[in-house]
Amino acid sequence: MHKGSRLEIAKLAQVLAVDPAQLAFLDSVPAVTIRSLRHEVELTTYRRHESRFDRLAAVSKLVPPSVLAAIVQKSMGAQLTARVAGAMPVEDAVKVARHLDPEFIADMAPSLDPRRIGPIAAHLSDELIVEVGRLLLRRRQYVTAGRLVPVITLSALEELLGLIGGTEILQIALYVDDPKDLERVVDLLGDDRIFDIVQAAAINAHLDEAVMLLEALSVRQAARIIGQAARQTDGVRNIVIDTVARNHTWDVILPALALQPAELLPLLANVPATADPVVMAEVLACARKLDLGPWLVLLMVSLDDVHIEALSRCDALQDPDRVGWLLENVGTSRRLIRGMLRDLGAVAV
Amino acid sequence: MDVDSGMGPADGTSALAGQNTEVVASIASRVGAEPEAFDGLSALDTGQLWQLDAAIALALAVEEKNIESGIASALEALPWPVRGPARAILGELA
Repeated sequence: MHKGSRLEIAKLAQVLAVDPAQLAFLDSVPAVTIRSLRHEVELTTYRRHESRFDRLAAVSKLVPPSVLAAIVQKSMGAQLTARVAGAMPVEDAVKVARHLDPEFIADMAPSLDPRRIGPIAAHLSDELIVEVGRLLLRRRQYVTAGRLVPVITLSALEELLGLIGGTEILQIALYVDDPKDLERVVDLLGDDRIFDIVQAAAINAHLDEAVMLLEALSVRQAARIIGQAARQTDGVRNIVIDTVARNHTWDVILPALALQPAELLPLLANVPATADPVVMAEVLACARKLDLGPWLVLLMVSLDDVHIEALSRCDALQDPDRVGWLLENVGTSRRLIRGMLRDLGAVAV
Repeated sequence: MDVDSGMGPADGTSALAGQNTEVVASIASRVGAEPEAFDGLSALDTGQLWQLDAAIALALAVEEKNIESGIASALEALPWPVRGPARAILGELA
């Protein structure tokens, strides 16, 4: 399966109004291709019917907003109303939206194009937005909720996030398209909420996707999340680090790990998933690639005996090139590092 | 003995590749894009490509139907004094 394909399949399935299971065969297709296909399908609808939507938007000026709201809810259907909303002048659309039942707006939501309705949403009350958001979550429409995050005002988003649990926040975050919007969400979350999300991800087997989300975040935000991973139980910490190891995403995690206070490092480093010479070799290689040599001293002195044993069995320590790099780049005292490396059974250089 | 059937493995493979190209072109044409935009679909077999093409075609057809019936219903629901002007704006859609 391609990285991220599962999430893109769910988004495409929503656009095509089919069960994601019907498109499961797309898991061998790169996520970027599935995403392009979804964007093109969405654009096609607008391109094919643009003149119809424009003319319906013109008709909407013939009746007062309250009457129009009653008509569209009774007769036009949620999908067509969503399309026409994107073609209406913002002020007209806002006036009509204020008369719509939140349930109907929630029905429209899967067909709304976030790029077109952003200015409309900006003029709606937080109360209405939050109510629609709650309805979407009650219906478990996480794909829709995630897609609409970019158009929700910060205050409404904050209120909505305050009403839901870690599992639901994660489900929404998974379907946010743009990393910038994901950062908005993370910035609104307190450490306690991030703790809940990490826990929920581990319990609900969503860590593969959650680790992928880390790639989209800044190092500072990833470090906040890793910090909360360190505060989990032994079992959850191991599941988190095991997920990183399985997905070979050390390049994302190490910079975030390097920002952790020294007392948290042993909690993340000394888990069963890292007591493996192969994993240790990957961490060393990645630290070299990212020029994190000085931080490796902190990591090494954080390891317990079991993990020191795994490190000593690591192939990298028999490679003069890599040992030479460690000697030159880890710490400031060559004597100290040489001693450590000798104790680990590293090849002499 | 080497018998030339005219349809050896190489020919079969190229025939399948040709079919796949055809289906990808159909998908691209439905969404108004160039087939090259969907090179990543080459991982799929012909049956899967047809399945995807059918799902897209169906979704677009359903939307078309919803739009037509939505316009007709909305027109019926308009207060009668504005139906005439609305029909004039909608033109052949009405």
